[in-house]
Amino acid sequence: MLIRVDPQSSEPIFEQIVFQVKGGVARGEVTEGDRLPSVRELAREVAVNPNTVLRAYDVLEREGIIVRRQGAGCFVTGKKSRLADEEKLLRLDDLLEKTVTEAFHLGFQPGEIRRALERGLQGLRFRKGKNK
Amino acid sequence: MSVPFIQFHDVYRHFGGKEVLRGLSFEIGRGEIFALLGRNGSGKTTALKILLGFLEPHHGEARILGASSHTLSPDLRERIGYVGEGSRLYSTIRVQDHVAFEAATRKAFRRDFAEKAIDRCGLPRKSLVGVLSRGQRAQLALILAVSAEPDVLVFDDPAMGLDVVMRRELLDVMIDLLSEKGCGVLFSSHILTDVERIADRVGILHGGRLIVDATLSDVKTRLERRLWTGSSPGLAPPPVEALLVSRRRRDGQELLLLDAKPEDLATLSNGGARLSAPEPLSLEEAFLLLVTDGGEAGILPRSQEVSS
Amino acid sequence: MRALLHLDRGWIFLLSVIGVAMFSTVCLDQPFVSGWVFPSDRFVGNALLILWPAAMILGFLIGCRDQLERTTEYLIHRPLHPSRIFASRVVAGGLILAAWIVLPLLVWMASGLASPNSALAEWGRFFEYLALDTIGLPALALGLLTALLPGFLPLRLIVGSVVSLGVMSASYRILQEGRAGLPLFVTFNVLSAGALLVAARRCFVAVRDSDRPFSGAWLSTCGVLIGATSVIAAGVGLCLLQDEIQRELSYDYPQLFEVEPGRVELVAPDRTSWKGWFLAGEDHALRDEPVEIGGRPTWGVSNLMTGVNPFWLELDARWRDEGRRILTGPWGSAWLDAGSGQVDIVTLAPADGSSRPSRRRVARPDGAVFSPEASAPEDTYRNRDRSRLFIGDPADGTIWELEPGRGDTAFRRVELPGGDVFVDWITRYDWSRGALRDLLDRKDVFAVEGRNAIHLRTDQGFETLDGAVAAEAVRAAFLERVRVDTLDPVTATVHAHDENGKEIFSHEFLPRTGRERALSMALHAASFLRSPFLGVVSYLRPSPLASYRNAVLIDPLLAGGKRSGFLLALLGVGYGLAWEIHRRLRKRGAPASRAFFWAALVFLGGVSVYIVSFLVETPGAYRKVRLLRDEEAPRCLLRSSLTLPPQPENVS
Repeated sequence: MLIRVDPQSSEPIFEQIVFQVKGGVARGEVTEGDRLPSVRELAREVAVNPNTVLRAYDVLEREGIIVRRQGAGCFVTGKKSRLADEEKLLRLDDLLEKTVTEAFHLGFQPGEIRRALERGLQGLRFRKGKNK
Repeated sequence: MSVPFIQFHDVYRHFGGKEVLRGLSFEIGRGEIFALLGRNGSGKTTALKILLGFLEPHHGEARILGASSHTLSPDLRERIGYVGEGSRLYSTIRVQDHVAFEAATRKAFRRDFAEKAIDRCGLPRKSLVGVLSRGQRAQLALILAVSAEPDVLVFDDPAMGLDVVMRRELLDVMIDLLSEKGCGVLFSSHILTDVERIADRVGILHGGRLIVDATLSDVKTRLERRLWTGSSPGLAPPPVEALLVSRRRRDGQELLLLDAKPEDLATLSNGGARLSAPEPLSLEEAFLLLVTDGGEAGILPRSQEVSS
Repeated sequence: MRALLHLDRGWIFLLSVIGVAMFSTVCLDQPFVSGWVFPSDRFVGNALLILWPAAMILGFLIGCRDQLERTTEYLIHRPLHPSRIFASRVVAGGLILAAWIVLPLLVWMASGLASPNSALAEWGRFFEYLALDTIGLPALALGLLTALLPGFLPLRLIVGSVVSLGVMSASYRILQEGRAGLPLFVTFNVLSAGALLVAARRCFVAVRDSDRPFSGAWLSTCGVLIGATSVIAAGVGLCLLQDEIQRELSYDYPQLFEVEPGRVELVAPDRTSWKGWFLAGEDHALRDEPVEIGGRPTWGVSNLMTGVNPFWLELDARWRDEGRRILTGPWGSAWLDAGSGQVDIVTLAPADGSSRPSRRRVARPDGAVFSPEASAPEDTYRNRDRSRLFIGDPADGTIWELEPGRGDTAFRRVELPGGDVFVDWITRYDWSRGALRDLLDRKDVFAVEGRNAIHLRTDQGFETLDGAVAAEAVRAAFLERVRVDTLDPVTATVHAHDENGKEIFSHEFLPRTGRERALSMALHAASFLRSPFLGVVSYLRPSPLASYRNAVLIDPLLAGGKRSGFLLALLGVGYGLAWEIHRRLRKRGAPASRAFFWAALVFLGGVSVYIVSFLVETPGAYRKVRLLRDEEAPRCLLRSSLTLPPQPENVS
């Protein structure tokens, strides 16, 4: 799993790390029992303050996504259900926000956008139904 | 909470007739990495020199590790690591001699650690210090400062004059060392992208005092940048409490808002004005907005502005 | 501290090697016999001329070491007390200096071991040369101090040079006190080096900040010292300068000459075309009447300083009792040691070592020693008869003779006709013309001035000259018939009288021509740079001084209560400068006590202290801090509380 941070983004770095780890778990790139890089390794990899990585790992531990074993390292737990949903929802919001903003600037009204969305969903159901 | 590691209390200092520090006050706690930012001549180096006892303040005092800065005893200096501007070291001796000198003059110097770090960075042990490149010298100075197991590190613009690659190497060394040592750090820098990666807190020195003294996450989350376009050109945005700075752009005003509440946003968008969503705000952009004057001040005279 | 020395070991080694090579060359340049067999004092000149500046430069480089590499902050931040760092620097300098002093001497000594004359060598002189070289100690300390003084570089160098001139001159002066001089010299060097090191250490330890004033405590203890040093240093410099000016003036004045018995006139040489001597008028201008001097003596104002050299010209310091080679012949050379009054005959071995060197003492049969004024006729090189050595001693009026080539071991007494007593030898250079000149031109003749008459020595012995020539000799004693009334650098009232004591001439020497006036004004102007306090002391001195020879502290223009107007002017200058510095310091914001302190110091010390004050009191030191009111201060726009990040653990 490749973790990338953008220090210049408005989002604090530790939050970015937290979301990326969650995303990796949700996508299945890391599974239960996998070892995450140590604080030092990750700090080096993304070139950030080790304190920041530590903070991110604290948050992840508190949310139950990882567990830290003294001397052995940080390991992924199996729990992904609640968080995977959360993560997906946020991504959905992101996607939608981008689309809505674009459409708005192109001059579409909220009603037109809603109708386009329905059309899109119809098409998707149809395709999905076909693949079943 | 323990006693703050580093403390500036109402420090004033002038040079010739020029007032540089005018009542500087801030604190740094144990284990924090504090980046001191400011324009050239804003007094960063002066503040650090006062902290280490090389200069005396004209008013107020600076304290480090609980002691006043101009009475630093050798025991306290033992616990402080310092890399000055330009990383000045003795240039006519070899790297390993310099390490030996540090080992002999500091009780807690860990020679094996220093030598391993030097090798890891690829610094040739037998070459003269004067022959090393600037980046290598900066790395060496950093290693020497940290190997003495200090409780606090003070760096004055450690990446001065280094190119991108060297700066990243320096950052790597700092990260390695910080992972291992975990001491408090105060450093000044111009390279805000590096600061964004590594600092816990930032202080922006402007006009002789800190106009920002906050954690980096606070800076990121509480400050917002939005674009405001008035109903007619030439209008200024209504003054709301959250508005810190506004700057004229060609297509409107760039606003810097702090802790913007919904009422403030509403005030700003009524009367036919348009307010954009928050735009990404890096530390560098926030810094620029805060320390440059608002308005049209620029280098080019107006007639020469390129019109699209 | 060992770590600091270890750090610099490369430099210590390099500088030592360079210095040892240089000084060894200088030592080996002198013949071994000059330094170790014959009495010689040329080594003094070398030590002063070369070791002093070299040691000063060494000290300066050591002091500048951190400034040059800009590692001052790095060094201050060592967990070492600055005094330990300073001590290690001093030790480094001491090691280098010791190498420079000792090793070349050893090399020199070793070079002589191979020579066949090494048997005659006095190896104990090693310690005397070592003692002479202690002049390097204050030089090193002074170089170090100059590097560490506050203020910008040119001013530091000027102050350092002037102080070094003062210390060196004082040290050198002590050396001239004959036999006792050497231990005093060493003591002075060690003590002055110590004092300078204390001052240098103070400068090193105190971080100099040009925007803050010197602490009151430091200034009150060192202020007086600064004032005294600058006054003395200025005094030395002015002493040298004014002595030169005074010399020029005294040579410019016309001279007295007895044209014929009973008639004395002012005469002067034509300095533009050197056509000869002319009569001069009361206004010191040359008249168009030439006068024939004929080798007879004239009396000039410069006679006031006859035989009195200023101390800096006496490079051949009398640290070691002056040994003079008085005769050289095929048998070797004869040396008269003025201190012990003994004569040694020294024969050196030839280079092939075919014969052995020898030194033997020859004594007077009466067992007495020669006085310091004893002399031989003419010098060793001009002495025509090299087989016979004559020595005349004016102290007891005796003449002694020896033939070294014959193996004589004791002197023989020579009697003058009529039981006359020896006064002095007369060489042909004493008179340029006259009857005696023809006689003296003969190779086998030299003349003796006795108390009663002049005697000529020929192969047959001594014979007295006849009356006419003797009368000329008496007239030649004109110089003794001139009397000076006032002792002063510029003016002199002179009277001449005949053999019976009747006054036949008198004149008051004052600056009358344009050139004389200009020189006199220059002399007065230079004295304005002296300390007003010392001016008063000079004025109150009961007796006057004639020359600037050693006038470091006392001004001869004022000594003895002369020139009250000048003294008032000097005090006026002091007061003016004191007022100016007081006003300037107060304007800058200095406290009243500080301004008054400097005003007092400048009033007492004069221009030199005034100049030094610029080094000490920088423009920005007293500027007041303007505290901002809250409304004026930049607002802190964004502040977080002090939250602590999580403590790192070694999770690896």
